[in-house]
Amino acid sequence: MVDPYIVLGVPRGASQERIDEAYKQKSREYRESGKFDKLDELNDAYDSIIMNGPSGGYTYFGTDFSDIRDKIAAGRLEDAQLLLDGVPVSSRNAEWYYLRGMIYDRKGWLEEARSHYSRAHSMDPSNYEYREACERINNARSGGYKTRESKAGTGSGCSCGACEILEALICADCCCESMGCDIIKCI
Amino acid sequence: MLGYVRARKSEMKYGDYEIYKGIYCSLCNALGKNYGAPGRLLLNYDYTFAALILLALGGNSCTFTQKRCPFNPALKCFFCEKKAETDFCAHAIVITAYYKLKDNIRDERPGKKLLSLLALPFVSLMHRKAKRLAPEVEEIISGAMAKQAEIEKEENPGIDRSADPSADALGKLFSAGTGGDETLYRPGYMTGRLIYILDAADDLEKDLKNGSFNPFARKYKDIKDPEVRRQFADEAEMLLNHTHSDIIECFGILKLKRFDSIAENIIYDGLETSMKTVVSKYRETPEKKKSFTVE
Repeated sequence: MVDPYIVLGVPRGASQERIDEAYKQKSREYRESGKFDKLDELNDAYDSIIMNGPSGGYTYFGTDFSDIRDKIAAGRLEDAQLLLDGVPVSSRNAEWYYLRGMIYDRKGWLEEARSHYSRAHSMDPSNYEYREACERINNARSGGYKTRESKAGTGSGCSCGACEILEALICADCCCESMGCDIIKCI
Repeated sequence: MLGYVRARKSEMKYGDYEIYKGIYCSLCNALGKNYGAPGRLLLNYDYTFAALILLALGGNSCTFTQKRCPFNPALKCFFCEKKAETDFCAHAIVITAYYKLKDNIRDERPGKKLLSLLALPFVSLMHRKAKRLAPEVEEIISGAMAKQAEIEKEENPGIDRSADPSADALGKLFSAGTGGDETLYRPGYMTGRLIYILDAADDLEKDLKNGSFNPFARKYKDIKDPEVRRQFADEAEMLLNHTHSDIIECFGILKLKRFDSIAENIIYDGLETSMKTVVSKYRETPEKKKSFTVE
């Protein structure tokens, strides 16, 4: 089975809200583009996270620090930090730096989080999780989030823009004219 | 807290603007009622935002009634009838102002120091009342000030550590204002962090001249050098963007019962304006005069 967190595209230990949000977005995406096999996979992944709870019971893939991940997911940052600090320097691998970054991220110490994430990424460039975290942060820092979010009412998803209304009127006019009536005189 | 968190009026609907002004007036009123006319002088936009968020989350409705402005009887303004939230913010304003004043007296230039000394007796009196009325706010802010002073003594605390006390204080204030709602901690924390970074970046040149503490001072000693200036502008912009994106994310999770378009205006447009103003100070062509271009 594929790692459900990778399927959803969220880091391990992500909050329930973030998981829900990612699920909604991805399922909409797949449904619109008709990728139903992907949708099934997504549903399975979501179910497995929900069944096991974001905070525990889930066996992480290839992790050396599952107890620490559990603590971070449960929001017990200080305990997690203590456990991490107890790891001898010689066995501090990429994941150690990643988890450290995650704790800082949760604490709101964004700069420390960034430097730890990027250290993890440079130690193990092939890891999806570390790369995703780095990309997310770089996107935020370069201001990429400003264009991504569509503000209420101005997004293209809204179906009552001026263009749509005009379009509808012209359509209505065409239909009307064929019946011998006219709602827009000049067209 | 210096008025970085405000709405961008040009993007606002008129009705929203009236509500925003109504909250501003209510806060002014709360200051006047609790601390007398001098208290009104402490009013600022940052706490208007805090009051807006607290009012947006609590209760079933929020009624505004038109009354005459006690400060300027020629004006008629709308006042929000809810008291608890605006009173809470009024106490927080007084307590913050008191500690800010004491801080000014410690390390500012002589002119400002004199002004602060003159204002101190009034603010001390108000502070004594505020301490009694809102002991939890006093505890949060005095704790943060003590922690801040400790961090400033360190060799090179870094931006995260330096910003932590004020960010943490605003986070705790937000959750205390709603009766201990933990979900408000992070939005508050991130807003406090953004304000701290904005303030530090804004004051860098002044702090370097006076030898005051500034988290960027060590790395950007030669801010007069154009190359260093450009580097600083880039770093500040990225730091601010990162924090801003987090603010947007965590306010997005909050379920506001009302005023969401106003909150959105402040969080997206208002904060962005403040960020741009501060960063553009360090760009190569600083714009002295207020102007705008329409393409």
